[in-house]
Amino acid sequence: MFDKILFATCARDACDAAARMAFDIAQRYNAHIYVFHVFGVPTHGYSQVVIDLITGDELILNENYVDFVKEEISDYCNQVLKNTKDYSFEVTIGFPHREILRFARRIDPDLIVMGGSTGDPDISFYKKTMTGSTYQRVARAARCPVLVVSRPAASFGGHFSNVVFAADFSIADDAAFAFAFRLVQEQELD
Amino acid sequence: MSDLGEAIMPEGTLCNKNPIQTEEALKTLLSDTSGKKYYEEMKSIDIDSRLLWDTIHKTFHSRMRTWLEICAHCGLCADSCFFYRIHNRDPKQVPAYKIQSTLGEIIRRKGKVDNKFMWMAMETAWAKCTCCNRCGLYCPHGIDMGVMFSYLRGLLYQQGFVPWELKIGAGMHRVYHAQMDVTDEDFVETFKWMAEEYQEDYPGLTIPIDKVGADIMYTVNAREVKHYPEALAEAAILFHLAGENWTIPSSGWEQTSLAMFAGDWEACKMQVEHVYAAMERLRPKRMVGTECGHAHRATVVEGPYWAGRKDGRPPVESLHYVEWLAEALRTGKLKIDPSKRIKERTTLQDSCNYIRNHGLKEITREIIGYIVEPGYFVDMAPNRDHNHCCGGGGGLNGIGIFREQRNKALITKRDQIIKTGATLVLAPCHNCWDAIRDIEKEYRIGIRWSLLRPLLIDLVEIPEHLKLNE
Repeated sequence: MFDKILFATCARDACDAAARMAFDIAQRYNAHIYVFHVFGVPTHGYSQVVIDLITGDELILNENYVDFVKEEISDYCNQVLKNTKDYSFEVTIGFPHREILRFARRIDPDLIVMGGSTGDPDISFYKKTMTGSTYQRVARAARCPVLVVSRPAASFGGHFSNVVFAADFSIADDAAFAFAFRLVQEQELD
Repeated sequence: MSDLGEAIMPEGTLCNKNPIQTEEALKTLLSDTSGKKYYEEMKSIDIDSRLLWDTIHKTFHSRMRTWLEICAHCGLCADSCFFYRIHNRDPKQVPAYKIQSTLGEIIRRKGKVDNKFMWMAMETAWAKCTCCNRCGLYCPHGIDMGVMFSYLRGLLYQQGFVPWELKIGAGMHRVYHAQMDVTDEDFVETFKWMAEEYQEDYPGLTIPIDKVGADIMYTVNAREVKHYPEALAEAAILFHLAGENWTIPSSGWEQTSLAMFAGDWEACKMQVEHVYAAMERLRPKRMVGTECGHAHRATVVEGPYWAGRKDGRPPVESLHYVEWLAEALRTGKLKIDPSKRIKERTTLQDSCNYIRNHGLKEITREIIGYIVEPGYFVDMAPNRDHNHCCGGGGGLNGIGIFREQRNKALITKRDQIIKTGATLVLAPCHNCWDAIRDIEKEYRIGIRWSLLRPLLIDLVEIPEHLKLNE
């Protein structure tokens, strides 16, 4: 069902639940999981300056910093990586939704897993209940299903037990129903 | 020993007179974060005075010679320069002083200058002038100090005195024929990707590649491929909705030239010849470039001279994007839904490189007449060919060691915008767009800013035969 999973992470708490679910699914289906992180957006024209998406600081892009970010991602995924053998890290700069879609086009994943919103729920309650702009833009254009995980699913062990298909009778419904039907059929779900 | 009798120092491994020619050399220079070692080495590099004077003999001709000699030191250029105005009218920021104390001095000394002088000249050429050419407009003799600073940059580049980022930028053009590490394959694939992504909303959207004899050949800024691919999609959509017979070249698609900002004359020639080769290969009726000022100047205005074309014109008629857009609106190829016109106090950035330097001041205003509700547009003061530089032109936006000077240089534009009371700034130029974004970041004046293309996508009517059938 899933051979390649793209887990797009912001490497913050907002993605913790998504990380656990992504790795659970990867283990369950023996899939390769690509851990993908966009760490900065370019600024100052053609220069090498990027704005770190986590700290907001300006930094100069170089190989050492890229290696440092990869290490941070590895540490971030430490707990879930222990049981995973088939994974790889990819870090880059750019505008997150755009780079996620660019990478997805390159690797053609079966599933993209993302967190809901990186907004601080202590500042705005709606950040807990709404998906962020990155997810919305990725979901709009992705060529595969996009799973958003906003909160922990304690009982999820990597496999689905039942599926709820919510239809709005739009064109996108066709593709969504086809996926839901296939999932139910192959996994013998309710 | 040098001509000054000094022991000749070895050239640096990173900072030297050699241009960047290979991917490996690019990576090596890029790995020197912020150019720390590069600038350290620059403090010790020697001046090849013989080479400098020899180059001047071959390239410094009657026009510039006359300019330097007939300057009456009247000071009328002073107030024309935004650097002079924001630095409390410091006499050392008067354009005539700046060029006479650098290029003028090199000529007077017959090239016998030292390392300290060249540092001063580098800072003057890149942090005290954006080559906006406004001074040339105000000089009673028509002496264009901005043009002379472009020339001075070439002399400095040849001697190894060029900001780190621009040495890299010129190297990118030599290696990739683009201002960033974007290959021809990246370009074509990204355009195809954008078409795939937007085909559902715009049925029939395709990207014609290497079509011979098309009406339009479209060229871009490499940063659109690398970081802003929506710009490619928007261009394709608008050509599609306008029913244009257009194409992109699979090679020769980069219209910009950081080599021009860097003073790498050889790379300037290589870059424009690469684009002209695409024009000659595909024989379009016209070339339309993206919304970028320096790209237009590099390929359409100065490019023919780099390529040795005696008529001063590219191989085919070449338009700035705003010229195509105005024509499309004027002829009805693109129609605006009047109910969607912008109803927000809006102003316009008149970009130096295609307004003052290529006369398109009324073209942009014609477009505004279609897209902004009457009563909502407010011109900056001054405007049109008298407008001030955005503050980041001539490559200044990207140069780290001169960031402080650049941030101060933004003040003039900031104040112009504030005086209009506008909340939306139209900036049909990638460089101006960057500078205005940085104005908002630095000074928080409460504006949003945009190129024209993304706005047009929301405003334009979709012809019946191209509408999505639900």
